[in-house]
Amino acid sequence: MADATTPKATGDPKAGGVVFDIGYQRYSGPREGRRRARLAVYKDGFRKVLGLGRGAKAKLLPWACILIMVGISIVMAAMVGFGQRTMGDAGAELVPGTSHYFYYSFFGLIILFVFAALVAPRLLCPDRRNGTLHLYLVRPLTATDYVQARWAACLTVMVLVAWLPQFVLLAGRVLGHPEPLTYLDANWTDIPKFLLAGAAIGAMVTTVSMLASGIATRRGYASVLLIALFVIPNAVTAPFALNPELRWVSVFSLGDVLGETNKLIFNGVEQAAEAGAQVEQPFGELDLDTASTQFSPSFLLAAYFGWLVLPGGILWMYYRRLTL
Amino acid sequence: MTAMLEPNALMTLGNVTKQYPAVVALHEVDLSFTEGITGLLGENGAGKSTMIKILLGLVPPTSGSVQVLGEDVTRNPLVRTRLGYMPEHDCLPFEAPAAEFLCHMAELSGLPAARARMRAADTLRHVGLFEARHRPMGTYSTGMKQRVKLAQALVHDPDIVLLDEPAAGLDPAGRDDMLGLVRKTYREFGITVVFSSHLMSDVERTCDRITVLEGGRVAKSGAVAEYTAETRTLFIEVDGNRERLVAALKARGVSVGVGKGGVAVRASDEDLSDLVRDALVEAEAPLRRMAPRRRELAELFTGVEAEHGETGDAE
Repeated sequence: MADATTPKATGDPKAGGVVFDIGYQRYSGPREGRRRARLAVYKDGFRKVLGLGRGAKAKLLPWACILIMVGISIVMAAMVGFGQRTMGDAGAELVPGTSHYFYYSFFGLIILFVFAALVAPRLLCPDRRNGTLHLYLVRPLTATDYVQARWAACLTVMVLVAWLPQFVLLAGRVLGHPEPLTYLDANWTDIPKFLLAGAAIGAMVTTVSMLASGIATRRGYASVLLIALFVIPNAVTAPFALNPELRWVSVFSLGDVLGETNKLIFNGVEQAAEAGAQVEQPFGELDLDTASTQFSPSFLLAAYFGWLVLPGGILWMYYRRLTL
Repeated sequence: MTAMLEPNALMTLGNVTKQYPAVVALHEVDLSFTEGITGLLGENGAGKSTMIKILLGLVPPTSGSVQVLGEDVTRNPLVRTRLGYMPEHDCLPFEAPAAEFLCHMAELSGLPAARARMRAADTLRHVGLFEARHRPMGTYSTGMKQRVKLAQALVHDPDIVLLDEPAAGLDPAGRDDMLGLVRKTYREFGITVVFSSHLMSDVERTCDRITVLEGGRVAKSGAVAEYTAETRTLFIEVDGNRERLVAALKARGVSVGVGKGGVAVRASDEDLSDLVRDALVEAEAPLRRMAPRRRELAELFTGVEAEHGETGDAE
């Protein structure tokens, strides 16, 4: 089948090279099966979320969110550093809302959710809408593999995006301290706490946003659905939460469950067990950096895993039963 | 229904029934697919797409067995590393360049990343899209998109490729190109093709074998040549005196039809050629071409041999 296109003059030094068309070649290399297929879906998902390999338009929103989150942590670090440099540790404590805990309980959580609402739909909606999902499922890949790999890609990005500003904040707090090693020695437990809290928040935000993306046909609908999931239950349950008898209703609010989980991780089980003591205080008197949870740890963990397992299960069942 | 199981089959459906809540899509189908290009012909709703989905393991049969390359595809999705599929509907992400998309599809079929890149470039070259491979697919014409769809089915070098209406939506030139690629897929690449269509002309031009589905059952299956065999009708083209030739033939008791571009004659007489020769001489009609007429696949559905006569497409 070899076919050569050669210049006529064989001895002509100006003659160009010889182009061989060796025809179609059968592939005889390795085939790595489902493992490679899952990895490919994961890699593709990671790139899609961050807009890697795409134009500026695809990168704009995710990277703007990341920059805002990092920017906020830089401002927080600068405020703490300034207080520490000018007035020592006591000065740092005078600046409220600059702790690792507070970052997740307010700015971090809101912007991470907006980030999820903007990028998670990229993972599932276009594949279903464009019909590309067919091409995935006719390969050695099950619907479960596909959803798991997409979820894992989204989780990776969410957790990294949740952690990045915390590391920036940590760097600011450490470097802003007159004796960085002393600060680190005294506060090293913040690191596993913010890593764990970031992973916990990232996992739930990922799962809920993937469910919304799995159900909605368009990215815009999924984004709106996600924002509604975050805002509406929060608004509806807020009045009930003022009544200690009805405080449990807050478990239907995604924001409350995430916020409380963050408190549990940062303040520990002992403080969490004293639930209720501080929440009855007016908000103005609440310590922004050390508030206790409203719920007992076991109840809160049950609520957290409920929010994780239920949407995840619905998504999984939905894709398993998807008719092509 | 004909039972069509063959010992050297690459894919076999054994007494397969697929029942949906409101309809039986396939009814007790026994069928084998062997090496070559097989056309799956049938009207909309005949069960072509359901059969392809069952062969790909996307939907399980309600009853019966499915073997693809010796494996039960519903239990072993790894078989799909050796299968390619080109859907009829749109399936391409418009923002991705073809090279990147094909590379991703190759990796999805289990090829390592470096090999996937090489295969993607090679395959795009074979389907004639090498120059446009870095352009987003949203900028492609319909014909180019069909080529990418074929390329993604071939990129992992499958043993069998299932094409669902590959020429749908193409203009005549694009259709010719696509059918040429389908032929090339088997004849040059060595990949067995199962090709569904509701257009008989496409199947006739492209396929070695044909399976006709009607209402979820296999109506006919066999080599295309069997269905397009020579008939007892001779088709004659002359450069002049056609009316005199028709009269001379009729005078000899030959059944004559005047068709588009020529004259069709039919006789049970073994001496038909001699009668035609004598009529040509008598009519002084210069002979341009004379050949036995072949049946057309359309006759599979009508059951009637197409006439080139007065009731046909006479000029």
